[in-house]
Amino acid sequence: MAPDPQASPVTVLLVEDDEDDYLITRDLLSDVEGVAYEMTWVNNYDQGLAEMKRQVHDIYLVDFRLAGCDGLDLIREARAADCTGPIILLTGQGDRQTDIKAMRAGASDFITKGRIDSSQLERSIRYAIEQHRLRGELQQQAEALARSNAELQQFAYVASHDLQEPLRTISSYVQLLARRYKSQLDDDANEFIGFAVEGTRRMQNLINDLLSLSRVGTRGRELEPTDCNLALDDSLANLGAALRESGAEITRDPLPVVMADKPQLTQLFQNLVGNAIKFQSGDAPKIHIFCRPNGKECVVGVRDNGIGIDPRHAERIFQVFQRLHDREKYPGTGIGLAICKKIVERHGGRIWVESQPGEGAAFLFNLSQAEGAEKQ
Amino acid sequence: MTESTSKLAEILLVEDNPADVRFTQEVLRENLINHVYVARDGEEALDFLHRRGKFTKVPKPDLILLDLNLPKVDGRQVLAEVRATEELKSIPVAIMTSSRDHEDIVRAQTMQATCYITKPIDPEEFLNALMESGGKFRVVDSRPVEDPVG
Repeated sequence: MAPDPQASPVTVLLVEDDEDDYLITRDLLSDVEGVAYEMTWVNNYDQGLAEMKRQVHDIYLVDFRLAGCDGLDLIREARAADCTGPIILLTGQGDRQTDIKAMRAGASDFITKGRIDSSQLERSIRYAIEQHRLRGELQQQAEALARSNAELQQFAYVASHDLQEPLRTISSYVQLLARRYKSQLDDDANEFIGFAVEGTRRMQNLINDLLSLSRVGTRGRELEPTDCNLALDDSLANLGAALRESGAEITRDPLPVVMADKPQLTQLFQNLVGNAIKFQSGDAPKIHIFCRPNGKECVVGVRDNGIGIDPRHAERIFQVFQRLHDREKYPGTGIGLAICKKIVERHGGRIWVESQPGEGAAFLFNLSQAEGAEKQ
Repeated sequence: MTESTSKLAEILLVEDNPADVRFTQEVLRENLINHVYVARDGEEALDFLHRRGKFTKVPKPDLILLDLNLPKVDGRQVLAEVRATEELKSIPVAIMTSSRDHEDIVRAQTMQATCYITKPIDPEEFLNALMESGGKFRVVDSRPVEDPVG
Protein backbone atom coordinates (compact mmCIF):
# COMPACT_ATOMS: atom_id res chain seq x y z
CA MET A 1 0.00 0.00 0.00
CA ALA A 2 1.40 3.38 -1.00
CA PRO A 3 1.41 6.27 1.50
CA ASP A 4 -1.84 8.17 1.51
CA PRO A 5 -0.98 11.36 -0.37
CA GLN A 6 -3.65 13.22 1.55
CA ALA A 7 -2.32 12.32 4.99
CA SER A 8 0.39 14.53 6.40
CA PRO A 9 3.56 12.64 7.28
CA VAL A 10 4.20 11.49 10.83
CA THR A 11 6.97 13.66 12.25
CA VAL A 12 9.57 11.73 14.22
CA LEU A 13 12.39 12.99 16.43
CA LEU A 14 15.18 10.46 16.87
CA VAL A 15 17.64 11.05 19.72
CA GLU A 16 20.45 8.60 18.93
CA ASP A 17 24.24 8.98 19.32
CA ASP A 18 25.16 6.11 16.97
CA GLU A 19 25.01 6.95 13.27
CA ASP A 20 24.65 3.32 12.22
CA ASP A 21 21.61 2.94 14.45
CA TYR A 22 20.18 6.15 12.98
CA LEU A 23 20.54 4.71 9.49
CA ILE A 24 18.91 1.45 10.54
CA THR A 25 15.95 3.27 12.09
CA ARG A 26 15.61 5.52 9.06
CA ASP A 27 15.56 2.47 6.76
CA LEU A 28 13.03 0.67 8.95
CA LEU A 29 10.70 3.65 8.76
CA SER A 30 11.10 4.11 5.04
CA ASP A 31 10.14 0.45 4.58
CA VAL A 32 6.80 1.00 6.31
CA GLU A 33 3.94 0.70 3.87
CA GLY A 34 1.06 3.14 3.85
CA VAL A 35 2.59 5.74 6.17
CA ALA A 36 5.08 8.52 5.43
CA TYR A 37 7.53 9.56 8.14
CA GLU A 38 9.50 12.76 8.34
CA MET A 39 12.41 12.16 10.67
CA THR A 40 14.67 14.64 12.46
CA TRP A 41 17.85 13.21 13.92
CA VAL A 42 19.80 14.68 16.84
CA ASN A 43 22.77 12.87 18.30
CA ASN A 44 23.07 14.11 21.86
CA TYR A 45 21.17 14.62 25.11
CA ASP A 46 21.06 18.42 25.16
CA GLN A 47 19.88 18.82 21.59
CA GLY A 48 17.37 16.06 22.20
CA LEU A 49 15.96 17.85 25.23
CA ALA A 50 15.81 21.19 23.40
CA GLU A 51 13.91 19.59 20.48
CA MET A 52 11.56 17.69 22.80
CA LYS A 53 10.69 20.86 24.68
CA ARG A 54 9.53 22.44 21.42
CA GLN A 55 6.83 19.76 21.27
CA VAL A 56 6.49 19.84 17.51
CA HIS A 57 6.95 16.15 16.72
CA ASP A 58 4.32 13.44 16.67
CA ILE A 59 6.61 10.87 18.26
CA TYR A 60 9.98 10.78 20.06
CA LEU A 61 12.36 7.85 19.72
CA VAL A 62 15.01 8.03 22.45
CA ASP A 63 18.09 5.86 22.69
CA PHE A 64 18.85 4.37 26.12
CA ARG A 65 22.64 4.98 25.98
CA LEU A 66 23.49 8.49 24.83
CA ALA A 67 27.27 8.92 24.93
CA GLY A 68 27.64 8.86 28.67
CA CYS A 69 24.13 10.09 29.32
CA ASP A 70 21.03 8.12 30.20
CA GLY A 71 17.99 8.11 27.90
CA LEU A 72 15.80 7.53 30.97
CA ASP A 73 17.06 10.79 32.46
CA LEU A 74 16.24 12.53 29.20
CA ILE A 75 12.69 11.17 29.32
CA ARG A 76 12.29 12.25 32.95
CA GLU A 77 13.67 15.70 32.27
CA ALA A 78 11.46 16.15 29.22
CA ARG A 79 8.38 15.03 31.19
CA ALA A 80 9.30 17.38 34.03
CA ALA A 81 9.49 20.18 31.46
CA ASP A 82 5.89 19.40 30.45
CA CYS A 83 6.77 17.63 27.23
CA THR A 84 3.67 15.48 26.98
CA GLY A 85 4.25 13.84 23.57
CA PRO A 86 4.58 10.07 23.17
CA ILE A 87 8.11 8.71 23.73
CA ILE A 88 9.50 5.29 22.79
CA LEU A 89 12.76 4.15 24.39
CA LEU A 90 15.15 2.29 22.08
CA THR A 91 17.75 0.02 23.61
CA GLY A 92 20.47 -2.34 22.45
CA GLN A 93 19.68 -5.02 24.98
CA GLY A 94 16.18 -5.47 26.29
CA ASP A 95 15.70 -6.35 29.90
CA ARG A 96 12.57 -6.21 32.00
CA GLN A 97 14.09 -3.91 34.62
CA THR A 98 14.90 -1.19 32.07
CA ASP A 99 11.51 -1.70 30.45
CA ILE A 100 9.75 -1.02 33.77
CA LYS A 101 11.99 1.96 34.52
CA ALA A 102 11.19 3.39 31.08
CA MET A 103 7.49 2.97 31.70
CA ARG A 104 7.74 4.72 35.06
CA ALA A 105 9.80 7.53 33.56
CA GLY A 106 6.90 8.15 31.20
CA ALA A 107 7.75 6.22 28.05
CA SER A 108 4.88 4.84 26.00
CA ASP A 109 6.85 1.81 24.82
CA PHE A 110 10.22 0.10 24.98
CA ILE A 111 11.85 -1.42 21.90
CA THR A 112 14.95 -3.57 21.55
CA LYS A 113 16.92 -2.46 18.53
CA GLY A 114 17.88 -5.17 16.09
CA ARG A 115 14.97 -7.37 17.15
CA ILE A 116 12.19 -5.54 15.38
CA ASP A 117 11.16 -5.13 11.81
CA SER A 118 9.57 -2.13 10.17
CA SER A 119 5.99 -3.28 10.73
CA GLN A 120 6.62 -3.76 14.46
CA LEU A 121 8.17 -0.31 14.71
CA GLU A 122 5.25 1.19 12.81
CA ARG A 123 2.82 -0.58 15.14
CA SER A 124 4.61 0.65 18.26
CA ILE A 125 4.59 4.24 16.96
CA ARG A 126 0.95 4.06 15.94
CA TYR A 127 -0.16 2.75 19.34
CA ALA A 128 1.95 5.32 21.20
CA ILE A 129 0.47 8.19 19.18
CA GLU A 130 -3.09 6.91 19.56
CA GLN A 131 -2.74 6.40 23.31
CA HIS A 132 -1.29 9.87 23.61
CA ARG A 133 -4.26 11.30 21.74
CA LEU A 134 -6.75 9.43 23.94
CA ARG A 135 -4.97 10.52 27.09
CA GLY A 136 -5.14 14.11 25.90
CA GLU A 137 -8.88 13.81 25.25
CA LEU A 138 -9.46 12.27 28.67
CA GLN A 139 -7.47 14.98 30.33
CA GLN A 140 -9.45 17.67 28.55
CA GLN A 141 -12.69 16.04 29.63
CA ALA A 142 -11.46 15.76 33.22
CA GLU A 143 -10.47 19.43 33.22
CA ALA A 144 -13.80 20.48 31.74
CA LEU A 145 -15.62 18.42 34.38
CA ALA A 146 -13.57 19.87 37.21
CA ARG A 147 -14.26 23.36 35.89
CA SER A 148 -17.99 22.87 35.57
CA ASN A 149 -18.09 21.24 38.99
CA ALA A 150 -16.31 24.17 40.59
CA GLU A 151 -18.63 26.61 38.81
CA LEU A 152 -21.71 24.71 39.97
CA GLN A 153 -20.53 24.66 43.56
CA GLN A 154 -19.79 28.35 43.42
CA PHE A 155 -23.18 29.01 41.85
CA ALA A 156 -25.01 27.04 44.53
CA TYR A 157 -23.18 28.95 47.22
CA VAL A 158 -23.66 32.41 45.77
CA ALA A 159 -27.28 31.77 44.80
CA SER A 160 -28.28 30.53 48.23
CA HIS A 161 -26.26 33.20 49.99
CA ASP A 162 -27.72 36.07 47.98
CA LEU A 163 -31.25 34.67 48.23
CA GLN A 164 -31.11 35.15 51.98
CA GLU A 165 -31.08 38.93 51.94
CA PRO A 166 -34.34 39.68 50.13
CA LEU A 167 -36.03 36.81 51.90
CA ARG A 168 -35.03 38.21 55.27
CA THR A 169 -36.46 41.58 54.29
CA ILE A 170 -39.80 40.04 53.28
CA SER A 171 -40.03 37.98 56.43
CA SER A 172 -39.04 40.83 58.76
CA TYR A 173 -41.59 43.22 57.32
CA VAL A 174 -44.42 40.70 57.18
CA GLN A 175 -43.79 40.00 60.86
CA LEU A 176 -43.65 43.71 61.62
CA LEU A 177 -47.00 44.16 59.87
CA ALA A 178 -48.47 41.33 61.88
CA ARG A 179 -47.14 42.71 65.13
CA ARG A 180 -48.20 46.25 64.61
CA TYR A 181 -51.52 45.91 62.81
CA LYS A 182 -52.88 42.66 64.17
CA SER A 183 -55.67 44.40 66.07
CA GLN A 184 -56.78 46.33 62.99
CA LEU A 185 -56.98 43.30 60.71
CA ASP A 186 -59.61 40.61 60.47
CA ASP A 187 -59.07 36.88 60.99
CA ASP A 188 -58.57 36.19 57.30
CA ALA A 189 -55.83 38.81 57.02
CA ASN A 190 -54.07 37.41 60.05
CA GLU A 191 -54.28 33.90 58.66
CA PHE A 192 -52.82 35.05 55.32
CA ILE A 193 -49.96 36.75 57.11
CA GLY A 194 -49.40 33.52 59.04
CA PHE A 195 -49.02 31.57 55.77
CA ALA A 196 -46.61 34.19 54.41
CA VAL A 197 -44.48 34.02 57.55
CA GLU A 198 -44.48 30.23 57.52
CA GLY A 199 -43.48 30.25 53.85
CA THR A 200 -40.51 32.50 54.45
CA ARG A 201 -39.48 30.42 57.46
CA ARG A 202 -39.47 27.23 55.36
CA MET A 203 -37.55 28.91 52.58
CA GLN A 204 -35.00 30.21 55.09
CA ASN A 205 -34.50 26.64 56.35
CA LEU A 206 -34.08 25.39 52.80
CA ILE A 207 -31.51 28.05 52.00
CA ASN A 208 -29.61 27.38 55.23
CA ASP A 209 -29.48 23.67 54.48
CA LEU A 210 -28.49 24.23 50.85
CA LEU A 211 -25.70 26.48 52.07
CA SER A 212 -24.54 23.79 54.49
CA LEU A 213 -24.62 21.28 51.66
CA SER A 214 -22.55 23.47 49.36
CA ARG A 215 -20.11 24.33 52.15
CA VAL A 216 -19.22 20.65 52.56
CA GLY A 217 -17.44 20.91 49.22
CA THR A 218 -16.26 24.51 49.26
CA ARG A 219 -15.33 25.20 52.86
CA GLY A 220 -13.89 21.83 53.89
CA ARG A 221 -10.69 21.64 55.92
CA GLU A 222 -7.79 19.21 55.58
CA LEU A 223 -8.42 15.81 57.09
CA GLU A 224 -6.43 15.30 60.27
CA PRO A 225 -6.43 12.86 63.16
CA THR A 226 -9.69 13.59 64.96
CA ASP A 227 -11.16 11.99 68.05
CA CYS A 228 -14.67 10.83 67.13
CA ASN A 229 -15.63 10.97 70.81
CA LEU A 230 -15.03 14.72 70.91
CA ALA A 231 -16.94 15.31 67.67
CA LEU A 232 -19.84 13.29 69.09
CA ASP A 233 -19.68 15.28 72.37
CA ASP A 234 -19.93 18.53 70.39
CA SER A 235 -22.85 17.28 68.34
CA LEU A 236 -24.76 16.15 71.44
CA ALA A 237 -24.11 19.52 73.07
CA ASN A 238 -25.48 21.27 69.96
CA LEU A 239 -28.58 19.08 70.09
CA GLY A 240 -29.01 19.87 73.79
CA ALA A 241 -32.58 21.15 73.89
CA ALA A 242 -33.95 18.64 71.38
CA LEU A 243 -32.27 15.80 73.28
CA ARG A 244 -33.71 16.88 76.62
CA GLU A 245 -37.21 17.48 75.27
CA SER A 246 -37.35 14.07 73.62
CA GLY A 247 -36.16 12.28 76.76
CA ALA A 248 -33.77 10.32 74.55
CA GLU A 249 -31.48 7.79 76.14
CA ILE A 250 -28.03 7.81 74.54
CA THR A 251 -25.52 5.00 74.89
CA ARG A 252 -22.16 4.98 73.18
CA ASP A 253 -19.15 2.78 72.47
CA PRO A 254 -15.68 4.25 72.77
CA LEU A 255 -14.96 5.64 69.30
CA PRO A 256 -11.62 5.73 67.48
CA VAL A 257 -9.38 8.52 66.25
CA VAL A 258 -10.07 8.92 62.54
CA MET A 259 -8.84 11.08 59.68
CA ALA A 260 -11.50 13.77 59.51
CA ASP A 261 -12.52 17.39 59.23
CA LYS A 262 -13.82 17.86 62.78
CA PRO A 263 -16.63 20.39 62.17
CA GLN A 264 -17.94 18.15 59.39
CA LEU A 265 -17.70 15.03 61.53
CA THR A 266 -19.62 16.89 64.23
CA GLN A 267 -22.28 17.88 61.73
CA LEU A 268 -22.51 14.28 60.52
CA PHE A 269 -23.18 12.97 64.05
CA GLN A 270 -25.52 15.86 64.72
CA ASN A 271 -27.64 15.13 61.65
CA LEU A 272 -27.79 11.40 62.32
CA VAL A 273 -28.56 11.70 66.05
CA GLY A 274 -30.99 14.55 65.22
CA ASN A 275 -32.81 12.21 62.82
CA ALA A 276 -32.87 9.45 65.42
CA ILE A 277 -34.62 11.86 67.79
CA LYS A 278 -36.99 13.16 65.15
CA PHE A 279 -38.18 9.91 63.63
CA GLN A 280 -39.32 8.32 66.88
CA SER A 281 -42.07 5.76 67.08
CA GLY A 282 -43.83 7.07 70.18
CA ASP A 283 -41.55 5.57 72.82
CA ALA A 284 -38.72 7.67 74.17
CA PRO A 285 -35.86 7.40 71.68
CA LYS A 286 -33.09 4.94 72.54
CA ILE A 287 -30.01 5.84 70.53
CA HIS A 288 -26.79 3.85 70.46
CA ILE A 289 -23.60 5.06 68.79
CA PHE A 290 -21.32 2.15 68.01
CA CYS A 291 -18.08 1.33 66.27
CA ARG A 292 -16.70 -1.74 64.52
CA PRO A 293 -12.96 -1.41 63.91
CA ASN A 294 -11.89 -3.16 60.74
CA GLY A 295 -8.13 -2.92 60.17
CA LYS A 296 -7.25 0.54 58.91
CA GLU A 297 -10.89 1.39 58.62
CA CYS A 298 -13.74 1.48 61.04
CA VAL A 299 -17.47 1.46 60.66
CA VAL A 300 -19.28 3.92 62.91
CA GLY A 301 -23.03 3.77 63.29
CA VAL A 302 -26.02 5.42 64.93
CA ARG A 303 -28.85 3.02 65.81
CA ASP A 304 -32.31 4.06 66.99
CA ASN A 305 -35.62 2.49 67.98
CA GLY A 306 -37.65 4.80 65.73
CA ILE A 307 -40.08 4.24 62.90
CA GLY A 308 -37.50 2.65 60.60
CA ILE A 309 -37.25 2.82 56.82
CA ASP A 310 -38.42 0.47 54.13
CA PRO A 311 -35.26 -0.95 52.47
CA ARG A 312 -36.60 0.04 49.06
CA HIS A 313 -36.03 3.68 50.04
CA ALA A 314 -32.51 2.97 51.31
CA GLU A 315 -30.85 4.82 48.41
CA ARG A 316 -33.40 7.55 47.87
CA ILE A 317 -33.21 9.04 51.34
CA PHE A 318 -29.65 10.24 50.71
CA GLN A 319 -30.68 12.39 47.74
CA VAL A 320 -31.39 16.10 48.06
CA PHE A 321 -35.06 17.07 48.73
CA GLN A 322 -36.18 13.48 49.15
CA ARG A 323 -38.70 13.14 51.92
CA LEU A 324 -40.62 10.01 52.85
CA HIS A 325 -43.04 11.61 55.30
CA ASP A 326 -45.37 14.56 55.34
CA ARG A 327 -44.00 17.83 56.54
CA GLU A 328 -46.60 18.23 59.29
CA LYS A 329 -45.53 15.12 61.15
CA TYR A 330 -41.78 15.22 60.57
CA PRO A 331 -40.62 18.73 59.64
CA GLY A 332 -37.47 19.19 57.65
CA THR A 333 -36.06 20.19 54.30
CA GLY A 334 -34.95 16.83 52.95
CA ILE A 335 -31.31 17.88 52.78
CA GLY A 336 -29.89 16.51 56.04
CA LEU A 337 -28.97 13.06 54.81
CA ALA A 338 -27.63 14.47 51.53
CA ILE A 339 -25.26 16.55 53.66
CA CYS A 340 -24.27 13.39 55.56
CA LYS A 341 -23.56 11.58 52.31
CA LYS A 342 -21.49 14.43 50.94
CA ILE A 343 -19.47 14.66 54.17
CA VAL A 344 -18.76 10.92 54.28
CA GLU A 345 -17.83 10.83 50.59
CA ARG A 346 -15.51 13.78 51.03
CA HIS A 347 -13.78 11.64 53.67
CA GLY A 348 -13.45 8.79 51.16
CA GLY A 349 -16.10 6.66 52.84
CA ARG A 350 -19.61 5.38 52.23
CA ILE A 351 -22.82 5.79 54.19
CA TRP A 352 -25.75 3.40 54.23
CA VAL A 353 -28.80 2.43 56.24
CA GLU A 354 -29.84 -0.91 57.70
CA SER A 355 -33.48 -0.92 58.67
CA GLN A 356 -36.97 -2.39 58.47
CA PRO A 357 -40.17 -0.39 58.95
CA GLY A 358 -41.13 -0.34 62.63
CA GLU A 359 -37.84 -1.81 63.77
CA GLY A 360 -35.65 1.22 64.12
CA ALA A 361 -32.81 2.16 61.82
CA ALA A 362 -29.03 2.07 61.91
CA PHE A 363 -27.08 4.55 59.81
CA LEU A 364 -23.52 3.38 59.24
CA PHE A 365 -20.49 4.96 57.64
CA ASN A 366 -16.87 3.99 57.28
CA LEU A 367 -13.86 6.21 57.89
CA SER A 368 -10.10 5.71 57.84
CA GLN A 369 -8.51 5.37 61.25
CA ALA A 370 -5.67 7.75 61.98
CA GLU A 371 -2.16 6.31 61.64
CA GLY A 372 -1.20 4.32 64.73
CA ALA A 373 -4.76 4.23 66.00
CA GLU A 374 -5.81 0.97 64.31
CA LYS A 375 -5.99 -1.13 67.43
CA GLN A 376 -8.12 1.14 69.52
CA MET B 1 -37.30 58.36 75.68
CA THR B 2 -37.87 56.77 79.06
CA GLU B 3 -35.66 56.29 82.06
CA SER B 4 -35.23 52.59 81.44
CA THR B 5 -33.31 53.14 78.22
CA SER B 6 -31.27 56.10 79.36
CA LYS B 7 -28.09 54.05 79.43
CA LEU B 8 -28.37 53.31 75.74
CA ALA B 9 -29.63 56.65 74.65
CA GLU B 10 -27.61 57.27 71.49
CA ILE B 11 -27.16 54.56 68.93
CA LEU B 12 -25.19 54.81 65.72
CA LEU B 13 -26.55 52.42 63.13
CA VAL B 14 -24.13 51.76 60.27
CA GLU B 15 -26.07 50.04 57.52
CA ASP B 16 -26.37 50.55 53.77
CA ASN B 17 -29.52 48.56 53.06
CA PRO B 18 -32.51 50.94 53.38
CA ALA B 19 -34.90 48.12 54.28
CA ASP B 20 -32.61 47.01 57.11
CA VAL B 21 -32.16 50.60 58.31
CA ARG B 22 -35.88 51.20 58.53
CA PHE B 23 -36.61 47.83 60.08
CA THR B 24 -33.95 48.27 62.76
CA GLN B 25 -35.25 51.78 63.51
CA GLU B 26 -38.78 50.43 63.79
CA VAL B 27 -37.95 47.65 66.20
CA LEU B 28 -35.76 49.94 68.29
CA ARG B 29 -38.63 52.40 68.41
CA GLU B 30 -40.96 49.67 69.60
CA ASN B 31 -38.55 49.35 72.49
CA LEU B 32 -38.60 53.10 73.10
CA ILE B 33 -35.18 53.76 71.67
CA ASN B 34 -35.52 56.82 69.51
CA HIS B 35 -32.07 58.26 69.26
CA VAL B 36 -30.78 56.35 66.33
CA TYR B 37 -28.30 57.98 63.99
CA VAL B 38 -27.75 56.33 60.65
CA ALA B 39 -24.55 56.14 58.64
CA ARG B 40 -24.97 54.63 55.16
CA ASP B 41 -21.36 53.60 54.68
CA GLY B 42 -18.13 53.13 56.59
CA GLU B 43 -16.73 56.52 55.65
CA GLU B 44 -19.78 58.31 57.01
CA ALA B 45 -19.59 56.20 60.17
CA LEU B 46 -15.98 57.24 60.78
CA ASP B 47 -16.80 60.90 60.09
CA PHE B 48 -19.61 60.63 62.63
CA LEU B 49 -17.41 59.00 65.23
CA HIS B 50 -14.60 61.51 64.74
CA ARG B 51 -17.15 64.36 64.54
CA ARG B 52 -15.80 65.55 61.24
CA GLY B 53 -17.43 67.33 58.30
CA LYS B 54 -21.19 67.63 58.75
CA PHE B 55 -21.03 65.68 62.01
CA THR B 56 -19.33 68.24 64.25
CA LYS B 57 -22.26 68.51 66.62
CA VAL B 58 -23.22 64.89 67.09
CA PRO B 59 -22.92 63.05 70.41
CA LYS B 60 -20.56 60.19 71.07
CA PRO B 61 -22.78 57.14 70.66
CA ASP B 62 -23.39 54.70 73.49
CA LEU B 63 -23.59 51.82 71.08
CA ILE B 64 -22.63 51.13 67.48
CA LEU B 65 -24.70 48.70 65.42
CA LEU B 66 -22.41 47.74 62.58
CA ASP B 67 -23.10 45.92 59.35
CA LEU B 68 -19.95 44.33 57.94
CA ASN B 69 -20.41 44.68 54.20
CA LEU B 70 -20.50 48.40 53.59
CA PRO B 71 -19.64 50.66 50.68
CA LYS B 72 -16.42 52.73 50.72
CA VAL B 73 -14.95 51.59 54.05
CA ASP B 74 -16.08 48.18 55.17
CA GLY B 75 -17.34 47.33 58.65
CA ARG B 76 -14.19 45.48 59.67
CA GLN B 77 -12.12 48.60 59.06
CA VAL B 78 -14.58 50.75 60.98
CA LEU B 79 -14.35 48.39 63.93
CA ALA B 80 -10.56 48.29 63.75
CA GLU B 81 -10.39 52.07 63.80
CA VAL B 82 -12.83 52.35 66.72
CA ARG B 83 -10.74 49.91 68.73
CA ALA B 84 -7.52 51.73 67.84
CA THR B 85 -8.80 55.18 68.84
CA GLU B 86 -8.43 56.13 72.50
CA GLU B 87 -11.69 58.13 72.86
CA LEU B 88 -13.76 55.57 70.94
CA LYS B 89 -12.41 52.21 71.97
CA SER B 90 -14.76 51.77 74.95
CA ILE B 91 -17.91 52.03 72.82
CA PRO B 92 -19.68 48.68 72.57
CA VAL B 93 -19.91 47.53 68.95
CA ALA B 94 -22.55 45.01 67.94
CA ILE B 95 -21.91 43.40 64.59
CA MET B 96 -25.12 42.82 62.65
CA THR B 97 -24.97 40.21 59.98
CA SER B 98 -27.01 37.61 58.19
CA SER B 99 -24.19 35.07 58.46
CA ARG B 100 -24.29 32.39 61.09
CA ASP B 101 -21.00 30.96 59.91
CA HIS B 102 -18.79 29.77 62.73
CA GLU B 103 -15.79 31.36 61.03
CA ASP B 104 -17.47 34.76 60.80
CA ILE B 105 -18.37 34.62 64.49
CA VAL B 106 -14.81 33.75 65.48
CA ARG B 107 -13.50 36.55 63.27
CA ALA B 108 -15.87 39.06 64.91
CA GLN B 109 -14.56 37.98 68.28
CA THR B 110 -10.96 38.41 67.18
CA MET B 111 -11.81 41.88 65.95
CA GLN B 112 -12.98 42.76 69.47
CA ALA B 113 -16.64 43.15 68.68
CA THR B 114 -18.78 43.31 71.81
CA CYS B 115 -21.62 41.33 70.43
CA TYR B 116 -22.57 39.43 67.31
CA ILE B 117 -26.21 39.56 66.30
CA THR B 118 -27.95 37.99 63.39
CA LYS B 119 -30.48 39.89 61.33
CA PRO B 120 -33.34 40.53 61.70
CA ILE B 121 -32.50 41.96 65.08
CA ASP B 122 -34.51 41.21 68.16
CA PRO B 123 -33.83 44.32 70.24
CA GLU B 124 -34.83 42.98 73.60
CA GLU B 125 -32.58 40.01 73.24
CA PHE B 126 -29.55 41.92 72.14
CA LEU B 127 -29.95 44.79 74.63
CA ASN B 128 -30.15 42.23 77.43
CA ALA B 129 -27.09 40.49 76.09
CA LEU B 130 -25.17 43.74 75.92
CA MET B 131 -26.11 44.66 79.48
CA GLU B 132 -25.14 41.25 80.83
CA SER B 133 -22.04 40.72 78.82
CA GLY B 134 -20.17 43.58 80.45
CA GLY B 135 -17.77 43.76 77.55
CA LYS B 136 -17.49 40.03 77.06
CA PHE B 137 -18.28 38.76 73.61
CA ARG B 138 -21.77 37.43 73.00
CA VAL B 139 -23.54 35.83 70.08
CA VAL B 140 -27.18 36.77 69.79
CA ASP B 141 -29.07 34.68 67.35
CA SER B 142 -32.56 36.01 66.98
CA ARG B 143 -33.68 33.38 64.53
CA PRO B 144 -35.20 30.26 66.04
CA VAL B 145 -32.81 27.33 66.11
CA GLU B 146 -33.98 25.03 63.37
CA ASP B 147 -33.94 21.33 63.17
CA PRO B 148 -30.48 20.46 61.93
CA VAL B 149 -31.80 17.69 59.76
CA GLY B 150 -33.88 17.75 56.62
